[in-house]
Amino acid sequence: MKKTLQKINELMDLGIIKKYAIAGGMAQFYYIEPSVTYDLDLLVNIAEEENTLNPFAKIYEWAQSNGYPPLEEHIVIYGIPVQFLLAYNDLVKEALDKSEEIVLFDEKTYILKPEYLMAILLQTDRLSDKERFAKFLSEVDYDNNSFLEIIERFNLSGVYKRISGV
Amino acid sequence: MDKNYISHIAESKTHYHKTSAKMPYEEKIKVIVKLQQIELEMMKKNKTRKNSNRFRKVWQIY
Repeated sequence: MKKTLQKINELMDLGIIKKYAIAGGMAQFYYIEPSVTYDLDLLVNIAEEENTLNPFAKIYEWAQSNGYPPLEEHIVIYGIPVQFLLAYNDLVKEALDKSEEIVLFDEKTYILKPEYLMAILLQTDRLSDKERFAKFLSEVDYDNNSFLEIIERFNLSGVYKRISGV
Repeated sequence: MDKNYISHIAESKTHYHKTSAKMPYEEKIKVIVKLQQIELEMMKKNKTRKNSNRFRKVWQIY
């Protein structure tokens, strides 16, 4: 994973992506008990946003020149299938903007904060998201005020009440 | 069934999950890879389990 993170950071150094953060299951497992997952989701701000038809073109070029094979919607970087995702709505954009710098395997990286991951789980609202959300409630010392403020602004308070029974 | 017994088990499980949540991320990655091995083995043995995603492979990172 260290080498994977090094290569992802290289994308920023090269100016191919402006910003990224670990999202999805691998971000959730930073805070909650881990369970099985097979890919690493990365939210990214692409440097060349004018290429709207294929925003990941530069990333795929970079992957090809480095010998990292595509696998379905992923690129396998040092054994880990990495999925690059654009911030697809305002909540996710803000989550990426406010992501936190951390160090993993002695590498600098970025990760979504727990309050945003929880809000995104409420927004996606699939069965598996509800289960993960419950784990955040019972296992994580998150900032409740910040979480409530986020879900209020993004109209997710109703979902929260329905799921948590508050 | 003794209610204390059941609540004790529930408390114990909650404590276990909270402790697992607090382990270092590097250790969690090892757990994830182990779980990948277990799940894929179970999928092989149990044909009723679906594995439609080609990217479901054990991470070769160690």
